[in-house]
Amino acid sequence: MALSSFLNCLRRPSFWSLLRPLVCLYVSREGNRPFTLWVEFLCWIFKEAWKREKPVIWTNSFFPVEFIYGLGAIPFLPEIFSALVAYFNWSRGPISKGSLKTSTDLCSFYRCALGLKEYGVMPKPDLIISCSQICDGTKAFYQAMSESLGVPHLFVDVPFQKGENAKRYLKSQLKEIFHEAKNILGLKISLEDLRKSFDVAKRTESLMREIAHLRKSKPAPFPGSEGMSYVSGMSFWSLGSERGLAFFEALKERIEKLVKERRGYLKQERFRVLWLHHIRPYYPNPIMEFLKERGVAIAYEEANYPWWPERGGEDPLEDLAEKLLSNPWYGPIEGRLKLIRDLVLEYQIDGVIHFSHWGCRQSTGGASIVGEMVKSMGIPYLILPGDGADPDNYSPGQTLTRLQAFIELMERRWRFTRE
Amino acid sequence: MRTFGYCCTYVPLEVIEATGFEPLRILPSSYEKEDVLLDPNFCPYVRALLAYFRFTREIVGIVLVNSCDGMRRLYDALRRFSPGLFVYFLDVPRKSDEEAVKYFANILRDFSFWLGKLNQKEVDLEELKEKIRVYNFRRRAFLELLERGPKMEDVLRVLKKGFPPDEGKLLKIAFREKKGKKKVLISGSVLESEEVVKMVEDLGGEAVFLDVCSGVRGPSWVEESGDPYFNLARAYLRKPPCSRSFAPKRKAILEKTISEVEGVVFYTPKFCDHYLHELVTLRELCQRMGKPLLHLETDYHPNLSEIIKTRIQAFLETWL
Repeated sequence: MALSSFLNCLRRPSFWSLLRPLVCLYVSREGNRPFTLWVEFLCWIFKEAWKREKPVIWTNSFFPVEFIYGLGAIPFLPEIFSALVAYFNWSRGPISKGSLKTSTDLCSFYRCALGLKEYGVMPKPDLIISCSQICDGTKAFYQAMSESLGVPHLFVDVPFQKGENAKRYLKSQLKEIFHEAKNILGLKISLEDLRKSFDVAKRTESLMREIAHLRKSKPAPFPGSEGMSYVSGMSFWSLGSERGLAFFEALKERIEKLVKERRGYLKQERFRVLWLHHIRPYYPNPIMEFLKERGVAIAYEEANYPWWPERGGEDPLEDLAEKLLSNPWYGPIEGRLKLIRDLVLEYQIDGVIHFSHWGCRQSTGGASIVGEMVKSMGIPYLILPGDGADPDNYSPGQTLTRLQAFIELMERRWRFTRE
Repeated sequence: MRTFGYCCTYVPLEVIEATGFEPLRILPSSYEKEDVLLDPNFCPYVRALLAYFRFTREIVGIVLVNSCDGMRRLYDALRRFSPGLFVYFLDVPRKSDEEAVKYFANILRDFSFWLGKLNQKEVDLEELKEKIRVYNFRRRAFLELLERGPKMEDVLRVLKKGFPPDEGKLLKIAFREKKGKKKVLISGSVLESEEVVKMVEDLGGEAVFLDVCSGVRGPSWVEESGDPYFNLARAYLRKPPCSRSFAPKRKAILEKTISEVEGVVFYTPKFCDHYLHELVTLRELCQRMGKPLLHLETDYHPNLSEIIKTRIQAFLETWL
């Protein structure tokens, strides 16, 4: 009874309107303005999505969300919603409900989203748009949802290959889904209307690049653990919105100040680590605290690297096609290897952690090859198996032992280079 | 003739043959799997392929398809860990509209050119058209045989070597005895063992459809006049879709097939994401249509485990 009343509350726009000032006031006490803006953004998006005055579109994380803002719709990202649920340590119930419908071998973020859909706590979409980046779930999960909810699904098949043939195919699809979305939702807009959100995205991206540059500073000014939670959440969910722009302005200001004052986020930074994969375990766990106590800073994370070229601005669909085709995680592994090599050098990295999330084939499948390359650079490398959303698939003892051994490797390397 | 390997039903074998290679579907029958270079939390078929190619020297190369994350990562791993093996990655679109067909036709042209260069043989369009004609003849013969109710255990044994089989192999297929047996659909991804089909048939079921990657999933016809690459692209993209494709018609096909059977056996190797996601739709369909469903998840094994055998037995005894 209590659960069902709580779930009913979550479905009311007025709940989010009321919650917004209270929770923002509460989190602002910490003086972390970007985090307050993230919380404010979430309350706004949930309120708008439940209010249903604008069309709601479900999409996957790697679909360019600025396209959805350009349509004048409210984007809803089930994958990130699952991460949020895990952050509040509520993912067990939805995961076990989702697992009943499929197999426990699937990515827990999708199983969690499947369970959340069964609970009815995600606003029903008017349309689903997904693209094939960067894993198989982006087509399969959303197709299953479209069939189950009886909602149309538009899909962008991003070619694996690059080049003109691929760009032509991709552009034709983007144009087609624009027109199909317009017809399905009854929108009176033209391709020109995409410009507004694309211009906002362009300004936001330039801030993202500046932030990436600022984070090269030593000591590391900003914790990677936060980079992989609300910062990547905002890059996936808010790009192309004014709220997203305000968030990245605030984040840049915060990091810039720390860099000027030469303040790191750790009291004493001993080692700088690069975290690979787009996620970390979101449920309560001691991993980040363990690293922090031992002076290990997550200086940067693969998740927040703005990989795509700067937008020309003349042809919005051409810019989108370029963005999608330049994704280093979708294509032969050489693209990812180059990115990691550059990050190791530019961020003066002492060790690399590859978080191998259960069920994530696209990333874990390359972990050995990445390891070979990183080790050839003389940098310690750790494959850390785990689960981003399912606390029952996490072994604290094993995880911390591996981390301890990894830190010892970095210490040995440090002693060796000193001698 | 030198052999060139493939795994997926979206590879037009006509192109491989026209460039002077003999196509060979690779379904390793060994127990060995690569557990170190690829994560253990990974498709066992892909791990079996990597283990197979690390020690096999009889095959010139392999064409992999952009079918799933497993195959994409296998492409990286083979180039790294199997030096000497020629690996081609065929970017098959997930859609089948005209734009996708145009894209795929260009991809096939590149593939054909690459193979020709590898075999030092200039690609002759007339030869490719001839191969299309030969394959069409085989398809017709096979589809006619299908209509006569063959034993699916035999069909799978023959199709594991490739689709469409040559006429000589059709003689090895026996026909079913129809004695009021319960009709069963066997669906899923790579079905490596005929034992599943045999068990269903031995225990009183009749496997009437074989909707698996190693089963009947090729195109039924390829247009013979005009640009052969375009014709192949169109036919292969519009063949019965598997779950990796963005093909809303797949649900309708499944629905129609389920309506004609009394139960469904859904067979997947572990960690097969496309099909595990499809299971959600399949469960809902079976529930709505009141048809029992058995999901078997295996570790890509040449022999069936006792547990799987017991589950098939229980399914047939309890539900059918």
